[in-house]
Amino acid sequence: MTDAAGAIAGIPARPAHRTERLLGWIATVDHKRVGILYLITTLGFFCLGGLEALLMRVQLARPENALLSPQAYNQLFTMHGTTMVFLVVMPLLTGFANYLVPLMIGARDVAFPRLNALSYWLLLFGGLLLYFSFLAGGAPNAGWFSYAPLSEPQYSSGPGMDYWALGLLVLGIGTIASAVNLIVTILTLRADGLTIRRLPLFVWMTFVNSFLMLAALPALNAALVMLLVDRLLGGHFFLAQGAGAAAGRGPVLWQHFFWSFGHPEVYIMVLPAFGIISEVIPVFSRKPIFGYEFVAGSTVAIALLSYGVWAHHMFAVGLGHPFDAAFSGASLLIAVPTGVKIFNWIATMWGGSIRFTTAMHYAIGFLAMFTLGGISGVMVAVVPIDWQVTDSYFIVAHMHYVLFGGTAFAVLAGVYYWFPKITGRMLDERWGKVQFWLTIIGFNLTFFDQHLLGLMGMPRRVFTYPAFPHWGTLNLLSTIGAFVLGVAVLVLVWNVWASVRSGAIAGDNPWNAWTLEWAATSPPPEHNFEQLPPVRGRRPLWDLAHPDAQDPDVGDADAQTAPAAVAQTRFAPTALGMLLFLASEAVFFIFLVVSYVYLHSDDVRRASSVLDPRITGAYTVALLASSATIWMAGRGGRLHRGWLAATIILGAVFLVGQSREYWRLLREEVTTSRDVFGSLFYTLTGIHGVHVAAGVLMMLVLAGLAWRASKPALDREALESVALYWHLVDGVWIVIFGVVYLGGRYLA
Amino acid sequence: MTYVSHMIEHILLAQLLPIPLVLAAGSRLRWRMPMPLAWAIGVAAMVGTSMPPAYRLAEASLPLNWAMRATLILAGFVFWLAVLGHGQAMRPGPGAMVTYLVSACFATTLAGVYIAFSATTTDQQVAGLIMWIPCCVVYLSASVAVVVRGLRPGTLN
Repeated sequence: MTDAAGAIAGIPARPAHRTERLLGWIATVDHKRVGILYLITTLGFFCLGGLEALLMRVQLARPENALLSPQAYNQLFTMHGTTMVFLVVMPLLTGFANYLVPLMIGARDVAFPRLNALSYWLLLFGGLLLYFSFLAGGAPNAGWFSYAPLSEPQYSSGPGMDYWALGLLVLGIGTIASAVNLIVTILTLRADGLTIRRLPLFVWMTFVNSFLMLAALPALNAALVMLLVDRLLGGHFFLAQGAGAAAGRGPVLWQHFFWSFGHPEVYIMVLPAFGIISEVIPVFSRKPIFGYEFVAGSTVAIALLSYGVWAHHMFAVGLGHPFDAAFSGASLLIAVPTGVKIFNWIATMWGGSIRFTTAMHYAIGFLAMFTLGGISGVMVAVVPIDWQVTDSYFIVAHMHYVLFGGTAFAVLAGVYYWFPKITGRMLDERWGKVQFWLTIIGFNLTFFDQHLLGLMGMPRRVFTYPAFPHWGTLNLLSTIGAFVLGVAVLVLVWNVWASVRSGAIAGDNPWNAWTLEWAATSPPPEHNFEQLPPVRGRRPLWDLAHPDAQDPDVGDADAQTAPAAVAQTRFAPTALGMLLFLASEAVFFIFLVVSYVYLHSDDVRRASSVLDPRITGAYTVALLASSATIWMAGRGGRLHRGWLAATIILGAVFLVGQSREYWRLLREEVTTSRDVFGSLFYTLTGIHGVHVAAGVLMMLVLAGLAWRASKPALDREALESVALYWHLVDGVWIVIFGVVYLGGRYLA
Repeated sequence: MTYVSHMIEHILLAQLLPIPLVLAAGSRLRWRMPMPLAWAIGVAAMVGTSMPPAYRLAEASLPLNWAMRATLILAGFVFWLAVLGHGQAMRPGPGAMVTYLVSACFATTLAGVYIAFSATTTDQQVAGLIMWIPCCVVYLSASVAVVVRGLRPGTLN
């Protein structure tokens, strides 16, 4: 790391050895440094993903171009999409949240700083794993949603898809960890007086968004595990085989699972961006946000609705008119809370004394561009229009208006807004405005034409096209626009580089903003705050500066009833974090069980008769008994070593029972590759078995700690967390036993 | 009666009808059921009476059908009483309420998904989709109302 990077983090300027400084960054658990690592890493991946896009645009600049082979082009669009979604937008927003959330709520750090660092390293290594595929024999090439059976080994025989699935699994685990971390941070570490209803909107939206991640990522993780079973163990989940009603179910199952993650994912990528906009627009309009509770409440509506609309990505699959109609209606519904937000932002600007800083330029650009993307989204929610334009460049245009015109513009507003806080120096405004105009012109030149191309019938994901009228011209314009965007990115990189070294000194609060992060120095010291201002409303720094014109009181009676108060009295942070993690685990297992029910058929019923519910039932009793023993182990606030040992033994008994069953079945040649039943059985019970083994391991650690202590002192939080985990493992087994061993025989 | 009307009846009886009943009479009731129990009763009634075997039973026997309807109204009353009943001081916090409602939505969604995907008739498919989306929209609208009200200045003072 350079001196400049050191200056960013506000390390005292003592002459440190170079390797020592580097180690300081690698070993850091400071949320600000982790946040900066996130931002730098995502900038790097953004440049890679951008280069991939430029290569594609060069290839498409004229008809019948032969610069890239079809194979190379497939790899490029797959890697571009995957990179931008998983390695740029999501971690970029997580990076912002990492840096800002503790500062905005007046905390010293996040709730679990080491877990936070782990999330970052999972991002970096997950990304490297994905990119290593280029060296290992070819990048993944089935598109960012990797539709089966194209992603199956029969059609993608190289190792690219394996790296894709493994890399995304690693990233997904890191994302869940940071979502847990952010929720616990926001619930338990807020400054005195900062009740839930006084939260800055960026924090609020990060909060809601983290729940969205907890519920959505497990769907992808379940699908990825199943894809890996198919690819590495010869499984049959997503293959288009079988007879009668079961034929073709597998590939559609992948689409259901992927999009039940993938549509909430769209909101995961845009909700924090809404949060940034909700901070920037009020400050530069010199007015409080209009309709705080509606901006916040509509976020909840969007988050909840986003689970009920995924099949609008599947109108062309042929699910039937009832499905199409239902999902079309639900998708149109989402436009309502989104529109509420747009009007709230406009109403915030209305009558304000607007300051046209670069950040505000981007915020206004966001309003215009995101609205365009939203409107084309409403268009494709209408089934016949979707049938017409699906898999065409219209969709490419729509989604880039949402993700670039929406999220990227908001992120750029955030970069110009918070750069002074992060580095202590202003980002140059003149270069900023140059960059803004280059971006908005380049962006529209690139993507607006693609609406027209799509309507003319140009399919997406083709490496070249014939010389139809206007296709060449529009594509050339699009390519020119992409290069203008590339120049804009270079201007940003130059601006950041130059401003970090010699930008104007910012001071603590250069924008006269109102939220707590501006009460810290710029950059903040490692412990964040010397002294926190009192928090009586939603704009503590405004109240501080204007004692005679304070904001209206937003009430503190909710201190007794807010979730935070409940959380603080009922759960220690560790147990709360464990509970959230378990919620995501429960969703993960629900998806696996759903796959069993969905893929069930007469063949599966026949095959499942090989199981013996009576023997496994006996081991089930042992496992369920262990839920009682672990409860006994923590009775009365003490650790009872005997009961803990009994729990460990019962867990081990269950594992032995499972191993014996596996041994018997393997000798009868029941394997993952034999049939759908084999894939389902081993995936469900195997992943559950891994969870049991992990639980036994955790209890052994607890037992070891208790053994070493002279008196059996109880780490209550640790025991409570392990007990919660163990109860979930038991509960999941009841469902698996019911469905696979008993219900499987009677399912319709 | 078609499966679709069977399902629409559920939304009317267990979701919409109890809301005004609770708002009218709930504040006079002194007793309070633990939230997890109210949740289990409400969701079990909703899911239990919607599944294909329950529909076939309701079709086969008129008294059983009326018994189901009565159960749905009672269970719906119990379910909404935990959220909307009682004076404001006794109501659970917004976080608890949203968790209560959203988890109910997840449970009925799973049931709706099952009914829709295991369907052999369009009738059952539409019924499943009704359980999946409009039914959930009721819970979600209530959640959003809870959040907006909870965040509005001074409402709890």
